[in-house]
Amino acid sequence: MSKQIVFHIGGWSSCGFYNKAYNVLASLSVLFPSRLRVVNHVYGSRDEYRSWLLGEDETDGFRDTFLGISKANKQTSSPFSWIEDSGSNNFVGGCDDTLDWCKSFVSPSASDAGKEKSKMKPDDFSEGHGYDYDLVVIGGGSGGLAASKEAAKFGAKVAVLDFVKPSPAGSTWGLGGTCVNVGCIPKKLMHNAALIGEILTNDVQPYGFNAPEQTEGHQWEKMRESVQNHIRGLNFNYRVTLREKNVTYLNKLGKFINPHTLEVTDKKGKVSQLTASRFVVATGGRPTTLDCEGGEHAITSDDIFSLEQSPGKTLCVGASYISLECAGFLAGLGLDTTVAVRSILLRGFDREIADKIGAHMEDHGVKFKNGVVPSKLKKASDGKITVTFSDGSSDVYDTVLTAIGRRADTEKLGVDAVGVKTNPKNGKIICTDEQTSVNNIYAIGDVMEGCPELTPVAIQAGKMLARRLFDGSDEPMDYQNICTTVFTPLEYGVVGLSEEDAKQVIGCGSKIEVYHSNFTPLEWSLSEHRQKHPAFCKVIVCKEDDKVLGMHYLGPHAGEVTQGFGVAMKKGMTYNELTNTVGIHPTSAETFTDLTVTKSSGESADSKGC
Amino acid sequence: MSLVIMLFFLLLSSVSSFTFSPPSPRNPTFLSSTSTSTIPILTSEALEQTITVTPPPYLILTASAIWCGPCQILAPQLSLASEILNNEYPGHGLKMMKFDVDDDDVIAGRLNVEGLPSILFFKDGKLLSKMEGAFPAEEVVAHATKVFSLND
Repeated sequence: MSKQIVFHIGGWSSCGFYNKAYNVLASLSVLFPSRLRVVNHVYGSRDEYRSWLLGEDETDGFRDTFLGISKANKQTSSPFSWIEDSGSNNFVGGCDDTLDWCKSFVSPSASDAGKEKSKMKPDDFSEGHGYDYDLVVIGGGSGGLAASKEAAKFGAKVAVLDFVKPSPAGSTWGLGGTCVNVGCIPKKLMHNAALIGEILTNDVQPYGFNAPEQTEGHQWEKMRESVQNHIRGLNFNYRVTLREKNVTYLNKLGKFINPHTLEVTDKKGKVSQLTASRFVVATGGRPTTLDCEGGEHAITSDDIFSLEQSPGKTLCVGASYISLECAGFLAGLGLDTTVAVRSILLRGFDREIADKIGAHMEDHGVKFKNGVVPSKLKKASDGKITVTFSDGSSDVYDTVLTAIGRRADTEKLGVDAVGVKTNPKNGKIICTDEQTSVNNIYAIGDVMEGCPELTPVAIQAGKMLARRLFDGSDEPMDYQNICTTVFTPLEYGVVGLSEEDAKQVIGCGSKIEVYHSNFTPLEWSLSEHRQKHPAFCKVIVCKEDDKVLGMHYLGPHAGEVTQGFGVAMKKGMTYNELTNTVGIHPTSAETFTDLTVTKSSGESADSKGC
Repeated sequence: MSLVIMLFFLLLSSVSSFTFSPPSPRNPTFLSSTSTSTIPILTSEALEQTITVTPPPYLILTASAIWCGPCQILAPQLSLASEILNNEYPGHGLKMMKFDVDDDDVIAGRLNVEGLPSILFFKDGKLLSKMEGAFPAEEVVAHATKVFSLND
């Protein structure tokens, strides 16, 4: 139940616009007294109203109490409305703004009910600030590029700094950040290569094709070249786009000297300075390195996608999605692959699904060493690495890939020196609505504490921040119900809560119902091997209001299946609405529309055919 | 009825000969070239010299990149075009050069290179026209002849 909104409206008695807006507000407060209370500030004449709003010499009127809100500071017309919230006033606007607000108040849309406003503090930005730029974005990745382009759209003078410090193994890359160069893009392409391998192995014959000549199997070098050429094309496109959108691109490394000044160094070592009214830190993260003896012989995700030769027999250290996705495609390409897991797979994700993913990977040919960490790496003259594990066992590998976590790259940025608070455990910057402890310095994406490490999240947060900074918006980023997909060999798409989190949120386990189903995608039916691990999906429903709290899908094309459901979840879809939706047949996604078996019933979750 | 269609096509062809717009690229797989020479690649100071400081009277400069497929396909076509142009218009001092947009990204930006390959036509240091994509040698020659007014 949302709390009562206290809505203030000021105007003068004969003003048509004021009367129009006030009448609507008054009617709403009669209809919804517990949700809306209206406070009326009506003046007898226009002069009296202006005297209140503008003040004696037009600098100390009521409108000037809205610090940093230029739209409010410039308003002279009637009505003038605002919402009072816990002692502070949030500007709404004139007649049109008030009526728009009234419409959204009445709208049944779930996302508008109890809509929060951003809690960002004003940062003293003013038109004639005299700095080199209105905004400098540090980091040209998913978040940084989105924020800079959006800000430039509103007329801001923007520059983006991007500089890639080479990985310990010497890998470097162009503009675009982690996702484009050493993350999502090459990962998905190589995962796709593995899927093609699966088709060749499992489906070619049952579907009636002649088995191709597989004498050489998979050529790593050819795949690497295609993937890297595509990435370079994307790097070029980003350069062109920044130019088109009037954003200055600087291939320099930045370091804060004071809250408005950066010391920047180019690739030749030349040092200079630049100043800006506002900064957005979007420097992302880098892989944490292995700190055992010989840990420097291991590579990371920064290196794997551009490796010139096949990684060969590989050990993946870590049980996060990065480790599992890499191990998954390496095994899929025919390489001898082992994963060293310290405790559990995919911490933070739904347990039942994580276990199923592990089981599928094992059957897929990935070896797991559970409950161990590497204690020593030794590299021989032929390049092979002998790894000794904490349980005393050891083995020899061509490549060791460390994927034990990612750290924010803030030490060299100088944020501590200017007073920006970070989390000492991971270097991430602590923010409220993307604003750091220094008012004119903001942070988005992986570098921000609490931000899901996903490209679309960084992009969205970047755009919305730019709108708040340069377009007068007060809408905060919504980090709830974000869809994501893990591209392990058996793909996992999810939106909403895991079973474990759903139980925590509601209270005891009896208030949720889990509907689930094991099913075999039709396309898999012709291949005996594929049927060994059926696909799986489940929804977690709150018994009180029938709302779906979490949707989980384990099967082919998980990303494509999950995306559309993201919109439904944002709108607060109920289990009834889901099962009343007619499915598309024959697909895997339609299984969601037909979930009837509950976990609590103890019945078999195996689907019985169509 | 057929007379109307004939008149329509006549009109269409006459209209297109008066409005000169840059041609769109063909399917590169059908291109073949007999030329064996390679176009010189310029970089940094030499590139800057050629474009701004001491430009040749006629310069065809192609922006390309090692990761760009159509650029590789265009390369032999450019060599052939260069041979043809220098044979047909020997006194003009026509130069054909290339540069890499990753090595010289600042210059690429200044020249507003947006797609690859981009073939830039300069006369006495002034940029007159641009072709984007992989073209057969004959079309590069035709465009150069038009833009540089080589037949006038």
